[in-house]
Amino acid sequence: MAAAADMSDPAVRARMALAVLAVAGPAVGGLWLRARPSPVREVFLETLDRLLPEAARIGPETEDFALSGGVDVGASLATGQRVLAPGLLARTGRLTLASAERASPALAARLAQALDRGGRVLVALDEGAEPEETLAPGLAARVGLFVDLDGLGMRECDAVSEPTAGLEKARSGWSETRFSGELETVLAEYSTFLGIDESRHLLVARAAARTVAALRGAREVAREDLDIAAALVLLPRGQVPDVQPEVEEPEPEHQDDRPSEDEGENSSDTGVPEDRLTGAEAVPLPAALLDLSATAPGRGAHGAGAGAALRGTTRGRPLPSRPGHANARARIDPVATLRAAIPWQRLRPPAPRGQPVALRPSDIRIRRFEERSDRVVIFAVDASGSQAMARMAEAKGAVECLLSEAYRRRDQVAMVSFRGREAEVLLAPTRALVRARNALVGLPAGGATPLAAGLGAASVLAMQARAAGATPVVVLLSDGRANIALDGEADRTRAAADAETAARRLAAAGVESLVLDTGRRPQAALEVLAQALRGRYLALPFARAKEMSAAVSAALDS
Amino acid sequence: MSDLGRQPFPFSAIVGQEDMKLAMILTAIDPKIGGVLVFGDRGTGKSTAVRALAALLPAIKVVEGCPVNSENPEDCPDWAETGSKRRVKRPTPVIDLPLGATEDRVTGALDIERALVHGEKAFEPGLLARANRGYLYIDEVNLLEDHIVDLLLDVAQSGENVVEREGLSIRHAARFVLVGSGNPEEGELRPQLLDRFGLAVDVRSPNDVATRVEVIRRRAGYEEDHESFMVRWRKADGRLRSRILKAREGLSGVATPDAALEDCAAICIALGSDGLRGELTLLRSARALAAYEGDAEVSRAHLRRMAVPALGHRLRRDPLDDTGSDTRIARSLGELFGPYQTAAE
Repeated sequence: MAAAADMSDPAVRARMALAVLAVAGPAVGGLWLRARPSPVREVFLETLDRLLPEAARIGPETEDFALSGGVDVGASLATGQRVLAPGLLARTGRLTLASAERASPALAARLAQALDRGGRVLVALDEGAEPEETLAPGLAARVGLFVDLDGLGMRECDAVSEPTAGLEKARSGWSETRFSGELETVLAEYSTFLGIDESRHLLVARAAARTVAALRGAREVAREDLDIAAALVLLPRGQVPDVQPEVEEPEPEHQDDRPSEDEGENSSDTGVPEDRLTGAEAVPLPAALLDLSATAPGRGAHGAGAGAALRGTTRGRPLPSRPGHANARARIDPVATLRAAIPWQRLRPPAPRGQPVALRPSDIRIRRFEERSDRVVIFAVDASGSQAMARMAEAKGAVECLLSEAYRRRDQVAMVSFRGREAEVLLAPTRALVRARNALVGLPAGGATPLAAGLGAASVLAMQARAAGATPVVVLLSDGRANIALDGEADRTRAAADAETAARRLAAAGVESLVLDTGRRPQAALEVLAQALRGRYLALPFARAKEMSAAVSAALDS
Repeated sequence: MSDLGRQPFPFSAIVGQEDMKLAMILTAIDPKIGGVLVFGDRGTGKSTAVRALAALLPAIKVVEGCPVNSENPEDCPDWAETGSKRRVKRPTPVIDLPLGATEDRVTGALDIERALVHGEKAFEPGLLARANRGYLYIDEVNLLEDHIVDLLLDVAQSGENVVEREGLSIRHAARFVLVGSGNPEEGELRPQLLDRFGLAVDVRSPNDVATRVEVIRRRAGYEEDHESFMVRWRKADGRLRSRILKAREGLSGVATPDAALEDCAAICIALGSDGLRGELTLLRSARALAAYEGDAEVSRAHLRRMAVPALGHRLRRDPLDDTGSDTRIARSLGELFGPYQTAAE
């Protein structure tokens, strides 16, 4: 057997991915490169250019017209003849998607369709810094190979660019390699073990394994080839279960992070670790593969918040047209353009070659659109001891009502709770309200009131939501005064000052807010806080959850 | 799938996913059922199934060059200036509606080219025109923008696309079976749109190794040994086609006894499903099922089989209650008609 590649070395993985992509091409869909700009990335991309020349480069800002093509209005006007521009997606070969983590759902959907038509390979350059910033799920499913270059330095450049032998031969021969039925079973077991549901990935892994075998000149795929393919395709996407026996005592705190299947209340808490262990025993993966550090972000079914709103002048509800340039990223309103041109016809020299209308650039009218952005309602829930004693149940009830309201309005919700010394994000923005409710049901209460920390966590979420194009609204539910300062000290004066500073910051950022006083008696301190927030204050001393909800929807609607 | 001249994956070769396949077959038997919504994991063959089904159906006759696939020359819209009266055979159209498609691409709009170059006011048909008499497939339907959804609802309801914009006043037939797919974890679907789909089914990835192996094998066979793979499945697809055609013919002859109507109403009342649409769809799909199975009349077993796909997505739902609607339906059916006997009931 030829030199077995050490797939735990990221440089070797990168080189192998390049070779597989160059040989198998469309059969693996493409390559998902997760890396910030770095010298290694440069070298990687240069090598890629050598192996597989780029046919088209697409970015998040690429307009629909450039993608799908159509009549080139500018050129048609100039020549008086119909000039058609072919779109980038009409090309076959290697397409590159730059800043892939910022691609809109619409762009991702178009690329996915183009890939489904076959003959194309997509290289997605994902520069996401946070786990949430990543490739749209529809693309992640189609772009088979995954490479993460983070952690590789200048020293590894040579290892990445080192040419792989036998590419030409493999290109013609890989589709002849045999993939035994036995290995098909192994492949299916791998995917079950790793919890990979996407059947596309299995086919890509199969094609990649055949390519790896062809690269070493074999006519039949060996288990080692499949392992290499699995390291490029399956492992980064899987939930690699721990094989160490320690997993038998999972820490209870981390259990709630990922609410298991939506069945019953708290039924499946104990089921998870057992499942994992039996899986681990059933399919022993090569140990070297299991400690791979590179995993694809956003694994599992949760998407990259594809519901977030998109801004721009290309979609949404139409607004009146405005003068503008034909070449801007804008769409021409032909009727308004003609209308603008008509009054001048007598004054202008006659249009050439019998064209009915003489158009000037100044006549061009551009369409404008308005797209309403999504709203993210961020609940900051006080779970301190006093709240727990007084009205935790009511507060929970109120949030539930608000959640129904959010459902009706198709808002997203997020949730932060604060108690003791710190705040924690219970739920990142989501539309899955069942998860929100589960987060709330499991919310423990007790301890002091670190109001400033709660507001701080809420404002971080608000800024993230805004960066994603949504409009954040913060709803604070509390019953009283802050008594824990930002640094964790129990000092009422400083705590109040910190809370006020946090509130002012939120107000300065222009985030809408609402303070719900859930205490038995209205608290003056909360009213002051609401003023600092420049938000509404609603004291609901004896209100029932339903009335509270009505008050809040009224406040949100205004 | 591919535009490199290959036939779509054969419908009969899709492994498992019986609910989805049955729902699609029934809409092919009776398009009035009103579309299928497929919710579930990625890569479970949703889009493959739509394309496969269209390829399975017999070709439709259309007037050559007609933008809305009219069957007779007199049905061609005036604006189309079709000219030809020749009728040609075309495969049943499957039109993809991509996310982010603009309103004018969907409904059609002023033909900019002709407006600017020739100064003529002409209509450039959109996706709805092309989908007439075929399928309109929306992947990730739950992520579709609201204004497009509103527009689709309107057209799906009336069977006609009306364009009143930019000085144009155009209408044309747009009767299509709406097939939507999506992953509910990425966004809920508005109840109005949900209700517009006749049947809704959930699909899951197979989680046993044997089924997965079979998926890999068939897909690999399709990709790598295309010719012989298609030959192997041609017979099964042919049988299915004739069964669908026979069911189409037999559909009008399926009797609907009063007992079935009463059962139908009882199910809907017990479940408190909103509106008559659910009841009608349940009856229609049960009739189509009876025709498909070669039965002379609608029986309780047919209604039972179709209750979940026809009503599951229409139940008034507490967004915070995650008890599946399937469970609720099964419970109600059990209370009404006694426990399930067998699958072959």
